[in-house]
Amino acid sequence: MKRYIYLLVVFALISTSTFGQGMFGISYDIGLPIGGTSDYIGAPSFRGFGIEGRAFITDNLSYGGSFNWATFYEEFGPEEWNIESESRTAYGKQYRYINSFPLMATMHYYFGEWDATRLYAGAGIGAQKIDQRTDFGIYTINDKKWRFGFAPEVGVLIPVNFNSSINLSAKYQYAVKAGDSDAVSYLSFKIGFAFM
Amino acid sequence: MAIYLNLKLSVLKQKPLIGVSKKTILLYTMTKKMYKISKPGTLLALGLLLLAGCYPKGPEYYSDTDLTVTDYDLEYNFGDQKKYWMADTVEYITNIDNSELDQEDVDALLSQIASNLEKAGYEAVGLANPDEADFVITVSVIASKNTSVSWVPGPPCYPGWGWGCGWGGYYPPYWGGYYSYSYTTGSVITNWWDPDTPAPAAAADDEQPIHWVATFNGLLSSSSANNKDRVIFSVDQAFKQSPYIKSNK
Repeated sequence: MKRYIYLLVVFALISTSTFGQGMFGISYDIGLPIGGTSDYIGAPSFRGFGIEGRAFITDNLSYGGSFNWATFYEEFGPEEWNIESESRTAYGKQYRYINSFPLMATMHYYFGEWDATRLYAGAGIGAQKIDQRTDFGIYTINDKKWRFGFAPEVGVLIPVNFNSSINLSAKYQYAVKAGDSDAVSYLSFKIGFAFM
Repeated sequence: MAIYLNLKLSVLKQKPLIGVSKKTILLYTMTKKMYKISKPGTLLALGLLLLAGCYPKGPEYYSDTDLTVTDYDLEYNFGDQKKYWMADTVEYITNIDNSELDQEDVDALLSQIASNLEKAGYEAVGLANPDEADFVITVSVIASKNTSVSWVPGPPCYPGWGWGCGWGGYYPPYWGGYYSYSYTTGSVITNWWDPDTPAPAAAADDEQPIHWVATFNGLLSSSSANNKDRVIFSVDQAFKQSPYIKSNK
C-alpha cells in the first residue's frame, strides 16, 4: 500500500511541473459527517486542511493529486452504555475521534474561460487512511486502516489576480468498509487559494 | 492590515518593545522572510500551526477518566437473597512501593456499599457469623503504575479469626473478578458470590462463580479527598445501573 501512496504523492508533485499550465492549491476544510459516520460522531469538523496540485491537459481538463486532513471529535456522556453483552453496563464519558487522510488522484473539468469565474466538477480516487479512536475511561479502542476511497467534487474558481484565485468547493468524501470497520463518509467544504 | 504590519515591523527594527519577547520578534521576522520566498508555503505552515492549536484535547479532569462497569449472572436470582457478609477491610493489591490505604477511605467505601445494599433490601450479618449469610461481598482495591493485572485473587486471610482463606472448609474459596482489563491506575472491584452455588465442573478446586461484579477505575489524582469522592460516586452509580439487585424477601 505504501508503494502506491508514494507513487500518488510523486504523481501529484510532478503533475504541476510536467505541463505548462499548472495549479497549486491550499485550503481550509470543514467536514460534516453523514450516513453511519454521523451515528459515531455527529459534530462537524472545523479542523481540516488540504493541498493539491493540478496539471492542465487542455483549457478545460486537468489531472492531479490531493492530500487532505480532517479531524472529527465529539464528547459523549457521562452516561450508561451496554457493552458487548446484555448484562454488562459501563458508565462514563466517551471521547471519539476520527482522523481522515485522503490521498487522491484527481481529474476535473472546467466550464467557462480563464479570465472569469470558472465552475468545475471532478472526482478523486485513491487511498484514505482512517484513524478512528474511542477513549472510554482509561481505555482506548483504536482502529487504524488504509481504505479505498473516492470523492466527487464540485467547485468554483474566483480570480483574484492574474495568477491566483479563491477556490471554493463541496466534496463527498467516502472511504469504503474495511474488515470490521464501517465505511466513513462526510461532506467536505473547501475554502482555499489556488495559485497558477 | 498591511499598514499595521509595516508599522509594527519598523518599530521592531528600532528596538524591542516592552512586552514583545525576542521569540515573537524572531517568529515574525522568519514568517516575513518565508512569505517572500513562498507565499503558498507560508500560508500552509501558518494554517497547520493554527490547526495544531485547536486540536481536540479530550479528558481534562481526573474524573473524566472514571469508568464504572457492572456485569451480572443472568440466571442468578438476586431477589431470593436476603443476608450478606462483608469483611471490614479490603484486599489491597499494588506494585507501588510503601503504598498503604487510608483506613478512613476504606471505611467510607465499605459503608457506601453497605448503605446501597441496605437500600436494596439486604441485611448484613455479623462479622463473626458468615455461615448465616446467603451471599458474600468482597472488595479489592488495586493501585498500579503498570498494566496487566487481569485476575483478582481470592479474599485475604484473617489470622486469628478462626478461618482461613478457604473459609475453614465451609465456604469454598472463590475466583476473583473475571475482567481481563489491565489496570494502570486505581481500581476498586466488588464481587458478589454465593457459597451455595456449585462451582462449574471445569473449575479448579479453589474457584467459585461470581454473580455480580462492579469495577470502578480511573486515573488517581494526588488528592485523596478527590479520589474518595469519585469512588463513593461510582459505588452509587454501580447500584443505580444494577436495578436487578433488589431483595424480595
